[in-house]
Parts: sequence; structure tokens; C-alpha cells
Amino acid sequence: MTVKKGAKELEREVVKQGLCTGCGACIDICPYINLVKERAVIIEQCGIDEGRCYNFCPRTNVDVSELDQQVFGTLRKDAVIGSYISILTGRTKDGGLKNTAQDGGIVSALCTYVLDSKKIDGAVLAKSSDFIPTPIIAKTKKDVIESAGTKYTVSPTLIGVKDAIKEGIEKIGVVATPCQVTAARKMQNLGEEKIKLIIGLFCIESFFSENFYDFLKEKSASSSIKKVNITGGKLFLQTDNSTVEVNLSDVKQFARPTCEVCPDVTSEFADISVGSIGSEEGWNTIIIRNKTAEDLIKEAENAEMIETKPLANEKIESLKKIVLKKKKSSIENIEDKKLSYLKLGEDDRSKIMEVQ
Amino acid sequence: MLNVEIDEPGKDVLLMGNEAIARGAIEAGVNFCTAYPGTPSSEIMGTLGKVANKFGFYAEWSTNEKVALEAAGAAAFAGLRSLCAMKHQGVNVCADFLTTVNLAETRGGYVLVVCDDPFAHSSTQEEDSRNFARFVDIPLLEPSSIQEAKDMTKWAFELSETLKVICMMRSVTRVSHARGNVKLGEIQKERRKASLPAMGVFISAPPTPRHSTLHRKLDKARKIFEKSEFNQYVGPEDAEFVIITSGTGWAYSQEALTLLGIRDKVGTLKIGTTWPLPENLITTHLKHAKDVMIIEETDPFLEQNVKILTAENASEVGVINFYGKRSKHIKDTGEIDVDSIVKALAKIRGLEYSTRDKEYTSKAKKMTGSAPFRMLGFCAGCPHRPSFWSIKTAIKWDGRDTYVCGDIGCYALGVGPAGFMQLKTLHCMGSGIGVATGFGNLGMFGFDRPVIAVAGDSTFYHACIPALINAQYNGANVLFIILDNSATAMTGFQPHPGTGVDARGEPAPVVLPEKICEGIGIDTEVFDPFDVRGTTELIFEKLQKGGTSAIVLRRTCGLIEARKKGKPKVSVDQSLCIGDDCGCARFCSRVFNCPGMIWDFEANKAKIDETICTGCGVCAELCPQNAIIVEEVR
Repeated sequence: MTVKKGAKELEREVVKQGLCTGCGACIDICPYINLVKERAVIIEQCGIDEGRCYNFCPRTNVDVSELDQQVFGTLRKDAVIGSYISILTGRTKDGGLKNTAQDGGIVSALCTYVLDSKKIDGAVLAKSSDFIPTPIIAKTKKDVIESAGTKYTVSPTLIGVKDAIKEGIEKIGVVATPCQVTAARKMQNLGEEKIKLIIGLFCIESFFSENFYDFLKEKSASSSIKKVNITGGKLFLQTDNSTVEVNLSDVKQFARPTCEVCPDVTSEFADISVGSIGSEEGWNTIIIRNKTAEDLIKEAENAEMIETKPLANEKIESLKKIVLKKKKSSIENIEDKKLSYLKLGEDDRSKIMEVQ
Repeated sequence: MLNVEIDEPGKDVLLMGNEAIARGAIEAGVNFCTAYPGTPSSEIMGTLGKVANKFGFYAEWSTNEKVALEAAGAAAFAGLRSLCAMKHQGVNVCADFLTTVNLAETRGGYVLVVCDDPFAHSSTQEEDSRNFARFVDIPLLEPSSIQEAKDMTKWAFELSETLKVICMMRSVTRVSHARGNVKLGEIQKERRKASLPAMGVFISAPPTPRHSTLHRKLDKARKIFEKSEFNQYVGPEDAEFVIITSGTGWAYSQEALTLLGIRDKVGTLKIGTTWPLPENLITTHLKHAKDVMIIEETDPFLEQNVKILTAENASEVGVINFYGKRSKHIKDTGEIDVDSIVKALAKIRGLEYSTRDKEYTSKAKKMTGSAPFRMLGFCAGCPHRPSFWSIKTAIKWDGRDTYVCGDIGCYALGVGPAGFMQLKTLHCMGSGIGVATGFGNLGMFGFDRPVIAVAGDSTFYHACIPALINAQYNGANVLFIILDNSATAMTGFQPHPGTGVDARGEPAPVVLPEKICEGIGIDTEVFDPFDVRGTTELIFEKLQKGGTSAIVLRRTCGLIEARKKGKPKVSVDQSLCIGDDCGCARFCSRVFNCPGMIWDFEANKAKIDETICTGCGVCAELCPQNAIIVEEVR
């Protein structure tokens, strides 16, 4: 499902509209597009009518039904959180991972498991260095532990995927935000067959790193922020000796405008999606979307890496409620901004808008 | 041995116009020579520098034309014969000194040679420097041939000593860069010693009496010019149609008369001493003329002065029809040539003549059809190409539409596709940073774009330093980038203060631009433009930081590097090249556009032209497919 559009349209529809997600999908495939301050910058128009840059981009048109068919072989059964087999809550049983993970440590545990069991040869993760996340290709548990923890700014993860392909890694796993998952699926659709496993993260919004962390350092009066956590409309900064509470409205200025038009909270096109919404503290919510993911969870449980239990129905409903709210507001924002090329198909749109 | 060195009076040798000028100075026993390189004048010092030690005179490439004229002036004060050479735009630089040194009583022969560039083949404008001679009241000579270029230079020293004033000689591209046989003269071998008179005062004061004295000198010059062999009349004694011409117009007009078969009907008065005019000689020929056509390069200089003379002598010379630049018969811009003069003469005389056969254009097209079209561009291996790519990229990264001011040198091509259209101003030597200091202080008027100025190393020494001090002193928000290719490349690799050699090829101290910038107090970094990523990051960082700062991008000119043996071998692994497709769309040969990168039409892939490639390897760094391989060759 390629579109006959290229860098010219990418610049007009995405870059100039401030919609770049900084995912890195269009970076390093040509000399004309660079990533600067977490945004794509087009140095020169290459003149090609149909470009991978446009077709990889998660903020160019996404035909939900077509992508569902590509990934799951069927249309979605849930208009709000997409295709899934089951929704669980779980946590790692690995002592080493428990200490470093943000919530239940499921992502770290699954990565460790698939690397150890050679299901994949390299997992592309985001690692923070002075709060700026950059993609790394994890090959061992140690690599996984070093990159654990939620980042509230985006890593150009797809650059890491392309590096892994260049490096000759045959089976690649990716841990990605919803926009990055979409980009990875688009790349897969255009022939990047080495991407074998996509673990999607829940994401409501993301921030630009520039000035954001300086602001947080100032708020916490500390340069050693251990963890940043957003729950219940508040941002919590955990330093060596205290936890500082910051109103989300105070950090709004650093938010990426592109997140306002993103209808995907739960990484709907991932094999498996992991987040904290819906689960109690110390646990993760896990959406198993396909057979690969279902088998993987079973094996990881058998290997004593993780433990899971079904997520209670009322928790699932509260998760869906949060997701629906965001989805509707994003659809409205797309329409308000007259971003016609991002509009959902009429069917997909009405399915969402009709849900109460 | 160079032809200019041959000491055989009477012998005919082939010389370039600029070599002939140098030979004229040698024959005159010149003691002190200065110049700043500039097309079409550069070969004068290029030649003199090579033979200075042999003939025992002093030769220098000066930092700029003003210094050159001042240094030569000192020698003339001290009774030595001095010559100062420059291109037309150089006179603007030294004009300030010229307007006072003309009032001082010089002693040794003091000759200013200016080479004009009609049509601005290699200049940013085509001014007629003869106007300066009239403007500052000094004698002006204008050679019409290579022989005259030599003879006039030699005579100019005598004239200057007779009149005790600086004399100017104006050449043009087609004299300076043409070659012809020259009959050599005696070389003055006597070595003068520098000496000053008892008081030794050389000033322009009191200006008004000295101005008056200067006018008397012009009267004296006029008398000398009446008898000068450089002025001559040919054709019927009583011709009613007279051409008055100078410089290249002499040869062109004679050829035009021959082509039209009217040599026996038209008289030609060739003037070699164009200011002050030999009025009696000209009036004599105006008397028998009813029609006068004036043929000269660039401005109607001769034309206006002859018309003044005609008006002053109206009762004697009667009514004359004038044809020239004012009447639009001769073009008043660009270069004159035989064709345009033939056309003008045929029109005036009512003759049928076609300068070209009717099928000329179609034949020419047919013949040149297979020649590849080439854009004006940088040479293979030129450091300016990656420098401009880095500048462009950093500006895009920054996103505030940085405004870039250009300067004079090879990198002036940055206004076009060669430099990715980055330069937005281009005027005279040093004006890039000068203009940039203004743009850099427009912040209070809402101008929020960052400002970059670029200048080459030779241009930096020439005229950038006061502007740079201005930027620092007045807090201009400017990033100054010195594109240091360690050469005065555009004019032919003349040495400059950064090269470590002087005009005579002797070792000289190296003056480093970064030391000067730092001395001014400007945060300065030296970087290699072949490290494209690093250069881009450095420029970006400086743009983001703002304020006055400087970067020296240092990498030797590709042509100098190419002359060295054992250049690395560069090749394309065509199995990796993606050519026209998405991923680069022929970045190397289409966008980066190094002439060493060519297109293999059979394979539809990139290819290296090994005869042109200098082995710099920058393309290998930029190829997104890593398809370009650089092998070091020992």
C-alpha cells in the first residue's frame, strides 16, 4: 500500500505541520533528511515522486483496515484498542530485572527471554544518556537492564532498526511507541522482513527533550533524577532522596504537537502491547494481539521469567475509557487542523465515534 | 630561461601581454615591484617574481592594492624605479592613496599598471579604470599591442621621472592575455641606490598649490604626448571619415576596415597617450574630418574628451558627426570586437556586409551538439564543495534561514548551484564580512535570521580584518567562516601571507588567520571541511550559540593536491549503488556534483572519472550506501 508521494509531501504534510514524531523511519535512508533536535529536517528535495521517507512515516496516511489485514490477517474486533486475543496483567519474576524496571518489568523480561532463547538476535531498545534517549541494539540481558525504564521523550528507534539491518542481524525485535510501531509495520510492508517481533508500549503523549529535562532538574532541585513517572494526571520525579510532584499542565509546553493527532494509545499494530494503565502498582497490562505473542507469553511463563493473570473486566473497561477519550480528541484535532490526509476512513471513524 | 630574461636587444620573442609589461619594467631597470593578484593582471608579478633575484630587484605580493601602491610609493620617494600592478578593481582599493600621492613630488619612476576586464570575464564588474587617471590628474598610457605593452611600460618610468608624478598604464584582458612577437630592447643594468633628499618630506600639503602644480605637470605631459610615437595617424591625409581609437580598438578597427575594403577612404588616429590628450594632434585631424567614429573599450572616455576638444575648437574644426558609444553605434558595455565594429561601420557607411555566413548558427550547433553541457562549478577535490554542503545542511538544521554573505574568490561560485545557492551577497574584496556586520546588527529592527559571512584566506588578509574588528567591537551576530584553501587559487596560486613563501619563492613567515581572529577576541575554531559531519555540527553549534564567532575551514586546494603523486584510488562498488532510485537519487553526481563523479549510462550507476578524480574521498563519506571505496596508494 505505497502512496505515490515523496519528500516534497513529507515536508509539506508532516515536517512543516510540526507532526514529525522523531521516530527516525525516514532518517539515514538518503543524504537529504537528517534528524535534528528530535525532528526530521529536509536538507534538499531529492525530486523523487514516490519515496520511502513518505511511505515509512507514521504521520502519513494510515489505512487502519489495510494495516490490520497486513499484520493480523483480519479486521479488528475492537475499535478502541484494536485486535487482541487476550488482556493480562503481569510482572517479571527475575530478581535482576525487578529493581530497574518501571512497573512490572514485562518488557525487559520478554526482551531478555527472546534474546536468551535466540528467538531474536538483537532487540532495538531506547537507552537514556543524560535523559536523551537513543536507540541501542541489545544482545544480552545486561544491555536490556541498562536501557530499562520509561522514557518520556522519544528515541529515534527506527534508526536503530536500520542499523541492525545494516549490521546484518537476521531476526530483529523492537520495543516501540505506537507511532514507531506503525512506522515499523510500514517498513515491513515495504520489504523489511527482518523485523520479527514488535513489542509496543502504551503512550498518551511525549515531550521534546530540549529544555524539558532542564525544567525537571530545576523542579526537583537535583541533577540525579532516577525515574520519571506519569500517572493520574501528575508527573512524579524520583530523585535519590525524594519524590517531587509536578502538574502535567506545567510540562504541556514541552509536549510534541504531533501527539495531539495520534489516535493510537496501545500500539495497536504491535504483536504484543505493554503498559501500566489498568494494572496495579508493580504490574503491567499486557495486550496479546496475535499467536506469536500468545506463545511467547506462555513460554516466558514456563521459563519462570514472568507471571501473569487475566486483567479484571472492569480494569479493561477503564483502560478502554482512557484510550477512547484520547482517540476521540485526536480525531477531532485532525479534523480541526484540516489534516485531510490523516483522516480515518469513514467506517473506521464512525466505529470509534459511536462507542460511548 | 624565460623569454623575458633574454638579453639580446633586437631579438623577436613570443610574449604574453603581461610578460611584455614585466619585460618593459626589466628593460627600464625597475628596482621595486609590488602587486596584488587579480585577473587579468596576475602574470605581471608572476613573471617579475621569478626573475627578481636574477636582475637584482625587489618583488612582493602585497596584502592588498593599497599597501602595494604605498610600498611602491616609498621606493619612488627614495629615487628608485617602482612598478605596482593590479586589476581594475584594485584601483578602487588604492584610490585613497592615489588621490594624495599624485600631489607629492615623486623622484624615481613610479608606474601603476592597471589591467581592466571588459565584459567582467573574471570580475564582479567591468569599470573603466581610465577614469581614475583623469580624476586624479595623472598621465595615462594605453597599449594597443603586445609590443606597445613592453615599450610603453619602459617609457612610463622615464615619463614619471620627467614629470615627477605617478604614471598609469591601462591594459585590458585582450592585451594582457594575448601573445605576440616582441622586439626586445636593452636592459638597463645600472643598480640605483635608495636615497632621500635633505628634507625628505613627501606630503600633499599645501593641497591647493600642489593641485595647481599637478595641472602644470599635465600641461607638460600634453606637450610631450604631442610628439609621442605611440600616437599615429594612418590613411588618407584628408580623409573625411576618421576613426579615433585606443587600446584594442586599433587592431579591431584596422581589421574591420580591411574586411570592408575601405582602408583608402578612412583615416585612423590611434592614440596611445589617452590622458591628457595630445590636443594639437587630434585637432589637426578633426579639421579634415566630417565624420568621426570613436572606438574604445568600456566607457566613452576618449569620446567625451575628444568632444570637449571639438567644442573648444569649434570655429576651427566645424561641424562633425560623431559615432561611438553615445550614438549607440559601439556598445557601451562589455567587450568590443571586430564583428561589432564591422557592423557599426557598415551601417554608418551604408555598406552590405555580413560578419557570419547565414548557416553559422546551425553549423555551430551541429558541431557542438555532442559537447557535454557543464555548469560553472568547483574542481574535483575542491574543499569548497563540502564546505558549502555543510553550510547548507547546518542552516537547514538550524531552521532560521541563515543569511549568507559572500566574497571574492573561487567560492564566489557559491551564488550558483556549485555552492548550493548559498551566497546572497557578492561585491568586492572583504565586503562579505562587512555587509554581514550590518545584517548582524539588524536585530533591533526585527531581523531575526542568523548571519554567516564567508571569505577565502587571501581575501581575509586583503580586506576582511577591519570588518571583522567591526563585528567584534559592535557586537554583530555573525559567524565568519574562512574557507582557507591555502592558496590564491582563483588567480593562479600566487603566494600570500599564509603560504610560507613570498613572490620570489623565498621562505616567509606564515600569518595564520585564526591567530588574527583570536587576537581580535573572537572565539575561533580550525576545522577540516572534508569531515563533513563534524563541520556541519560545528557550524550548527555556532549558529545556535549566536554572537560573533569564527571558523577556519582549512584544506588545501584540490588542484594543488592533485599535482602530488600517489593520490588514493576511488571507485564505485556498483552492486551497492542505488543510482536513480529512492535512497539517494544520484546524490554524488547530481547534487554534490563533483566533476570526478560521473554517470555510467549502461549500468545506470555512479562511476568515478579517474582522470579527473583527485582522490579526496569526500564522496565516500557522503554516499548513503557506502558504495564508494577509497584505496590508499603508496
